[in-house]
Amino acid sequence: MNQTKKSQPGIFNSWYRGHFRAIRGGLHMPLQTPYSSIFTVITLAICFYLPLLMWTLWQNFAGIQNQWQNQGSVAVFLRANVGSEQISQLQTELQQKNLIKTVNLVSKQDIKTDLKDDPQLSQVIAVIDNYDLPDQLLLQPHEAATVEQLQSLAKQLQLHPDIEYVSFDADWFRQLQAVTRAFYYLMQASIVIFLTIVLVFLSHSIGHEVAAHKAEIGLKKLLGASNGQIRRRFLYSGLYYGVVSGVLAWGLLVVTLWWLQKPLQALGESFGRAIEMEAVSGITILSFIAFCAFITWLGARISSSSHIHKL
Amino acid sequence: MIEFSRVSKAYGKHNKALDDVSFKVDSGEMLFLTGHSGAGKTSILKLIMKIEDISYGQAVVNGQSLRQLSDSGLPHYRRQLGMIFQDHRLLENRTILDNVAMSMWLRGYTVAESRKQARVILAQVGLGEKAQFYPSQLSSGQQQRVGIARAIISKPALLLADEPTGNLDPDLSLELMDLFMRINANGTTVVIASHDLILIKRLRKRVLVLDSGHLIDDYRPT
Repeated sequence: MNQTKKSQPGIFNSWYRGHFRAIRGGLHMPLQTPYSSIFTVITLAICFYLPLLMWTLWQNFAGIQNQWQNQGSVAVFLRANVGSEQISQLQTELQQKNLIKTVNLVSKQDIKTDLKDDPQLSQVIAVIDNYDLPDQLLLQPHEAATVEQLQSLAKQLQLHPDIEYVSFDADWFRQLQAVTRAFYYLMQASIVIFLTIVLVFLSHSIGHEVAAHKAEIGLKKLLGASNGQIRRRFLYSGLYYGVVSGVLAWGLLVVTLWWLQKPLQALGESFGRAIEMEAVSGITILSFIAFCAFITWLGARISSSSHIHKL
Repeated sequence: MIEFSRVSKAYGKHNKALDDVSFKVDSGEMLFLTGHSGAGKTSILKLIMKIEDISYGQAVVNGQSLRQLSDSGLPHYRRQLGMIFQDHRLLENRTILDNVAMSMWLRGYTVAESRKQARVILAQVGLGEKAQFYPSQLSSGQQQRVGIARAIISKPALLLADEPTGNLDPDLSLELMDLFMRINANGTTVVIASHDLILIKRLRKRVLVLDSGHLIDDYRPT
């Protein structure tokens, strides 16, 4: 019964070798039950995909809202008796305001020309004997200007003696902002709900795996394995589930954006705007997959720790 | 090596598995725990392995007080012990080579090193040719020898065996006991729980006799 025994490996070697085995063991475990693993991955992918889709739509929506807001302007209609010198003076005065980026004069002549060029309106104009149009100053606000500030400016300009009427329609802006805000909260709620589902579902799956290996875990404990050693391969399994389901969720997003591209383009065209859906960047995708891996690792950590401790 | 001082183990208020048990085992000794079923043999092994906690008294094993042993210190403590179970506890989905090697790789050895050492130990217990077999392909006696190989591969200071010959015929039992004697001769302290008095008498080793949780005799052959 003579045994040759090598000296005990160092802490780092034990740790490294333990992880190396767990990396393979963690991969081996889902492969042992392929159908169950596929089901797990698909469920996780859907749970990751829905918040990702909402986040991407919100990002695009917020971008479109900014774009449309920037395209909005304040139209200032001048009184008929205002002369060119007064117009020029008013133009300079408005240009000095912080909220205003540019001030452009649209003369009555320009407006008449535009109307004549319009195929439908030109026919209407042709039957009207006499029509008088005001000169107009078109104010382009700064990007930072809020709806409230612009509304206040419009009210202030309305009091100016040379100005007949100020046009600034803020209602649709408010509606757009309200929809965007609601969408934002919906996205936040969906992230919380689906991540909770991921944690609960994965905890259940890993708990099931731990129960299936109960005898092996009990034996390993008696042979001197620490809880950390036993837990490792479950954590790697969780990590793999996260990476694979994250990639799958991203793939679903790409397909969805491609699918939505045409209907959204048509919708934008009906409003006279161009809508171009932007896909997520490479860094965002990598961050998203890393986030998925972290969440599933966390689920596996919580579940395996409590189950292994009980055994 | 082992020192039990007035140790009791109770399950609830009225069920005492061990009652005021004291004994001392020196390093390198080999002894038997015997008694009827329910006498407390397995309870002593479970307390030594720290599968269960002591209710009253003190126990020191290999210099470690079991009462002061923390959860984090438990794996290191158990790595100094070897345990053989009556039901073998072999993993059915692994070869016997890996069943034995597992004990080594849990201690940080590489798979190759562990398997190499496992082959040596399996040869020593007479199973060198069956390294790639699965437990279900072996007889009960052979499975028990795999369990012994797994317990001794890491050369523990203390080897505990719970009814190792429980399911074996007399010839195989003697063979196994011979194996334990050789392990003990190598310096390992061996504690065997067994109710096989005929076998125990033949080996002429120290015997602790238990009855209903009480230690009633500490027999030392002259």
